[in-house]
Amino acid sequence: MFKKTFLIILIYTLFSSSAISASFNWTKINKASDDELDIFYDKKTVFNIGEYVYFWQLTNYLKDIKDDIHSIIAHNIVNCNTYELKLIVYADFKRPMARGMVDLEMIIPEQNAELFKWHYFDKNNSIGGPIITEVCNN
Amino acid sequence: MKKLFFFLIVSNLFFNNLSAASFNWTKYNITETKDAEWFYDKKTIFKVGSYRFYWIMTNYLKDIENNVYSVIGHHMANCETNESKWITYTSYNSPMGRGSVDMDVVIPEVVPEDFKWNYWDPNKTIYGAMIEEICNYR
Repeated sequence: MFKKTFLIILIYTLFSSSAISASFNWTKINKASDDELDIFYDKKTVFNIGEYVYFWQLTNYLKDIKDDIHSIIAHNIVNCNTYELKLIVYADFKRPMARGMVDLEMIIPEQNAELFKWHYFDKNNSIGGPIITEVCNN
Repeated sequence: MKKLFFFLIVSNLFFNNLSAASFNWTKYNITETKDAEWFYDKKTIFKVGSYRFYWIMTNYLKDIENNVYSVIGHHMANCETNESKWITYTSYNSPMGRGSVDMDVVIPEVVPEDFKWNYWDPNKTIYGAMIEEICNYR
């Protein structure tokens, strides 16, 4: 019995390390979330390369849903020294947790160079502050 | 036996949680002239909307110019057309993305004219064939 369980776990471990390569694993950022929205990031996607930190983020709207957009996935660049964030990729969904079909997708610098700019977030008094703190301390 | 089982479980948990932000490069191929080898990290491949996003690394093996031994980049691909866009470019003065950063560029920010779709023939270029492999991940 023990050997069978061991074998199953071993096979699962080997299998999962290659087959689940493309699925997000969201972690909620409690300090950035409130009763209107939940904000998540995927720890596995946080990479500190050169001057910046890169990560994927999920925003889940809980109330005051506009245009039937229930969730958004974004890929961000962060400058940890200046508490600035830049959005590269945006995709919104008509279901929570980025499920269902993509409603609108944008590669920000491709769509509008004017929108591709750094946004400063106050460390303590903004929604972006706790997100930047979390990914920069990851 | 029980110790080995315990070790595998603990190492699996540790690997999945604590070393979340380190790359795990898969070597794709080496150029015919053996001057560069290409890697990608399959755990960074995400399909969001119409595109695939992934991190790559190129290791230069000979004819080293400007002391650049390796480059790490975040790329996106259109799997329908085998085209890619390079989002970031970071070069290092040691192989495998180690050592000091030489150049660190968010391409659409610094050279927006270079942030464009480029077609890569999967039969004639290593990178084109690598895009095909990346696009085969679910």
